[in-house]
Amino acid sequence: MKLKFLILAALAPIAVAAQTPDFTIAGKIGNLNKPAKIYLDYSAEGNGRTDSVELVDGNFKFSGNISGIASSRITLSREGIKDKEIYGSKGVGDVIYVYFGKENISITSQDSLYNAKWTGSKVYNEMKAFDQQVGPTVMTVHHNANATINRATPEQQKDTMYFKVLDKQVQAFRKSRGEKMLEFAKANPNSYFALQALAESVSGYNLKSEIAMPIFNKLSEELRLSYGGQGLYKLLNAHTVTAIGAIAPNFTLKDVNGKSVSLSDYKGKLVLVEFWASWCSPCRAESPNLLKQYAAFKDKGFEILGVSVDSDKAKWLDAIKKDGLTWTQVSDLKGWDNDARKVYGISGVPANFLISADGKIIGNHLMGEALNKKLSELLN
Amino acid sequence: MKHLFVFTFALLLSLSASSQILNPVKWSYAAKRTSKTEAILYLKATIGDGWHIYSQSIAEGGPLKTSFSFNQAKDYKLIGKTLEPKAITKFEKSFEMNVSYFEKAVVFQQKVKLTGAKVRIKGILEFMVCNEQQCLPPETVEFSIPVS
Repeated sequence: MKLKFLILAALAPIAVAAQTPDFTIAGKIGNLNKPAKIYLDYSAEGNGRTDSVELVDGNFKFSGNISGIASSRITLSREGIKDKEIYGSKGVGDVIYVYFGKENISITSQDSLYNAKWTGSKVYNEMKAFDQQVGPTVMTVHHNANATINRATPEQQKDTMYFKVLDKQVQAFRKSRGEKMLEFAKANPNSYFALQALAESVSGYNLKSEIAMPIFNKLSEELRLSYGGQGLYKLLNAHTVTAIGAIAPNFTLKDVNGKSVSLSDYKGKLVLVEFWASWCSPCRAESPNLLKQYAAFKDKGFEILGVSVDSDKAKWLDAIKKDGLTWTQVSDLKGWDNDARKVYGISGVPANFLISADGKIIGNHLMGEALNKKLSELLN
Repeated sequence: MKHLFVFTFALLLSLSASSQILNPVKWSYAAKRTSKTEAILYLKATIGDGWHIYSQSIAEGGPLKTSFSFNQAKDYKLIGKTLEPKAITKFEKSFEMNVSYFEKAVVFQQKVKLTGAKVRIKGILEFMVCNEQQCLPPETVEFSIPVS
């Protein structure tokens, strides 16, 4: 999703920064001149930007404002292709992927970005230390494996055993990277890349919260309180947050008329928080049952609060109307980035949580007959 | 047919809270040169048991369709639309409409006209996967297919 945003950002005119820049990247690559051009696209705390500049006697300079640390891609084109073409097949030559902070950085090289020497960036040095310890990225390994396939003879390319061997190598690498990332995170509690390593382990390697949380807790306070740290903390906490018996985390979202509705408004009632979306068939298939349960138990103190992970308001409203849903519906129309969805940490829809009159989670994933049975037990 | 390892673009390793614990769909890509100036791209989804992804043609008000968007470049041009095999079509009561989908595996094909000897075709695809019980969030995957 973030990637898509960057692509859109690439097509939009580059915003002129009014503030004094808090980072600069100045460099010299050989003695390149027009049409040679250098492109920078970066993202920090969810905000993506793109920039490009022509080289003059090899010199170039970027500046801008970021919050926290930026992940970036820098591309050099000797032919000076159009800005948006760096996302096409022409932008694959001299490319580097780097992180930087609010720093004044200088890059120098005789010939290419790839070989450039970086000075003035603590973040870059940490990144290098991280790379050295955990080895090449998943992307590099896949790139190399694909190159091997391309070099293979036609016979080899037809041979499934040949692929199995390559696949095994990729799997072995993944395992090793997973282990090394954890070691790095334990050994470098002050490094931004310890946080990155933990995040990658959780999202890409299914690392369990029980293992990740103690390592997270040993990270520096600055890292734990950072934008990325808070995001990871929420993710790691999702399991304990929604355990049976836990106090249901409050959230506030807007209803179909734009009025704020909080879960805490439902204190004193038995409420089913139902996560759904207009595009989700199994969610919609549950609507008739919800209507039935709602009619049967509404007068006994049962409520439903529908939380939609839609991003298109018209589609959301249309689905409510088609299914004839009469209970309160809320959404921030941020799609999967829905704030309540993040707090409750669900991985698919539909998902629901039954919350008691005193605000505790007393059930989850109650569909069809299971919901009917539970409500009957509690309210009849 | 050559098949390549798939990777999801990992530059902007997201720290946002969307963790993909279940991952029932794997994408892989290949290309076959059919003449000096033409090639066919294959975009294959291998789908876990019980899960399905949707066809490229789904009417409004239903699930999210699978879609492909190829970057434009000077050294290739798309010929026609992205083709797909015949999908399973079923009337879904929950949407009150016909919905077409694929199970187990599906290969989408795109014909391209080439002007270069070695071309790399990039783009993004968007899809959504559901089973009988749930749907996972719509996902965007970047692909990069070399044609040699």
